[in-house]
Amino acid sequence: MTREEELRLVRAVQRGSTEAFEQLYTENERRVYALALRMCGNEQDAMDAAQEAFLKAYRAIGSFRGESAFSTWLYRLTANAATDLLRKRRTGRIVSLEELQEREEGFDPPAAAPTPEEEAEEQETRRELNEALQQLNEDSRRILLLREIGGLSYEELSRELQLEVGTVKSRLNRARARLCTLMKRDGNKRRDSASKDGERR
Amino acid sequence: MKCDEYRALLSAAMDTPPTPEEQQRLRAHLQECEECRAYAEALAELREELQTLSEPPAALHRQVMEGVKREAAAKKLRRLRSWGSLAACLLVILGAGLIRSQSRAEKAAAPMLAYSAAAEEAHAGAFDEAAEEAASDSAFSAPNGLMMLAPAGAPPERDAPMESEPEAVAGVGNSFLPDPETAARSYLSQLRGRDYGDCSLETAETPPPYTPVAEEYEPVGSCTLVVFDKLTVLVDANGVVFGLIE
Repeated sequence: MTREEELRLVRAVQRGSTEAFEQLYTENERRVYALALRMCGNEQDAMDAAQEAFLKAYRAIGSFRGESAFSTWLYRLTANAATDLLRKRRTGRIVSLEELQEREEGFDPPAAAPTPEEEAEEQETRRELNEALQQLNEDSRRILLLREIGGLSYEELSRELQLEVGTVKSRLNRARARLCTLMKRDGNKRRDSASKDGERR
Repeated sequence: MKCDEYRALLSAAMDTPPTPEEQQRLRAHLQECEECRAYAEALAELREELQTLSEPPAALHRQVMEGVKREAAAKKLRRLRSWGSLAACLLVILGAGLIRSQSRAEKAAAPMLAYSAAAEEAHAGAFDEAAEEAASDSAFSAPNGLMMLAPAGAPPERDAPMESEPEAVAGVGNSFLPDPETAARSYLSQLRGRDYGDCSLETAETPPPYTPVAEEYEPVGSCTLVVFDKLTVLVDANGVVFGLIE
C-alpha cells in the first residue's frame, strides 16, 4: 500500500468509515501482531496488545496528521501497548477467572506447520528467540523490533523514539550483538537448541 | 579497526547500504576473520527469524472490528448528545427571551419553568442516554451564564400551557419553582465548585446594587437575597440567579 492510498483510507476513517479502518487493519495486522508477539513473548498478551493498539489508533485517528506513515504510528502504538501490558504484568496484576476464560475462548490456535518435525523445529527456534528477546532490556527490544518488524528507517526511529540518529544506530548495534550473545550465536558455532527449562523469565 | 568496529559496521549495513569503501573493508575483514563471518551470518539469520511473521489469530480481526464498531456508535452518540444539549440550551434561551418580553408586558412573574421543563423533555425524549445525565441534575446552564433550575423530584407538568395562571407560579412557595436557597447553592456549586456554608434569606422589592451574572437578563418579580458569609446571591421570583454581591 502506498503512502497516498494509506492516507486516503485514513481520511475516510476520519470521516466515519469503519470499512476503511478494516482495510487499514487487514493491511497491518500481520506486522502489528508479530511486533506485539515479539514484544510480549506470548500469544495471549500479544492479542491484547495488538487489539489495544488498533483501538487506540481508531480512537485517536482524528488527530493523525500524516506526518509519519500510518503504519509507523501504529507500530509505535503497538510497542507502547505491549510495554504497558508487560509493566502491568510485572506489577502483579490479578487476572480474573472470567478474563482467563474469555481469552481462551477468543484464542484460535495458529495454523499448523507442514510436518511435525518442521513444526517442532520452528517452534523451538521461535521459543528460543522469544526467550532471548524477553531478556533484552526494553529499549533494546523496542528499537530492534520497530526496525526489523516495523521496518522503520533510522530517521523514523529517531523521530518516534526521540533519539539522535547516531544513538539509533549504536543502540541497534548493541541490541543485535546482545541478542546474538543470548542466542549463543555471537560468532561461536551455534550450539544445539537451548536447554528446555526456564520457559519464561 | 577492531572486530567490534567491523561488527558495528555490519549492523549498520543491514539498515542502510554501506558505501563502496565500507563494503570493501568489510569484505576484506570477513575473509580473514572467521568469528566475524559467523557473526554476519548470525545477524542475517536473526533478521530472517524476526521477520518471519506468524499468522495472527482470526479472533483478533473479529475483536478489533467489534471494538471499532462500538467506538463508532459511541462517537455518533456523543455527536448527537452535543447537538441535543445545544438544542436544549437554545430552548432555554428562547424561553428566557419570551419571558422577558412577557414580563415587560405583564409586569408579572412568568413561569420560566415551563420552558426549562420543556427543554428537559425535548432533551430526554430525543436522546435517551443524554437524558440520564440531564435528569440526574435537573439544572440547565445557559451559555450566557444564567442558571435555570427544574424542580428536583417534581415531574414536569407536560400538558400545562405556559399561559395558564401566571399568578399561581409567581410565588416562591410554588412546588414547581426551586426555592431561592436551592437555586443559589446549585449555582455556586456548579459554577464555583464550592460550598459556601450557612446562609440566611432576605426579600427585597428592589435589589441593592449587584453584579449581574448574565447580560440582558432582567429579574422577574421580587428578589430574594441569599446571604452567605462571603457573598450574597440574588435570586428572582422564578428561581433564577441573576446577580451577586461579593
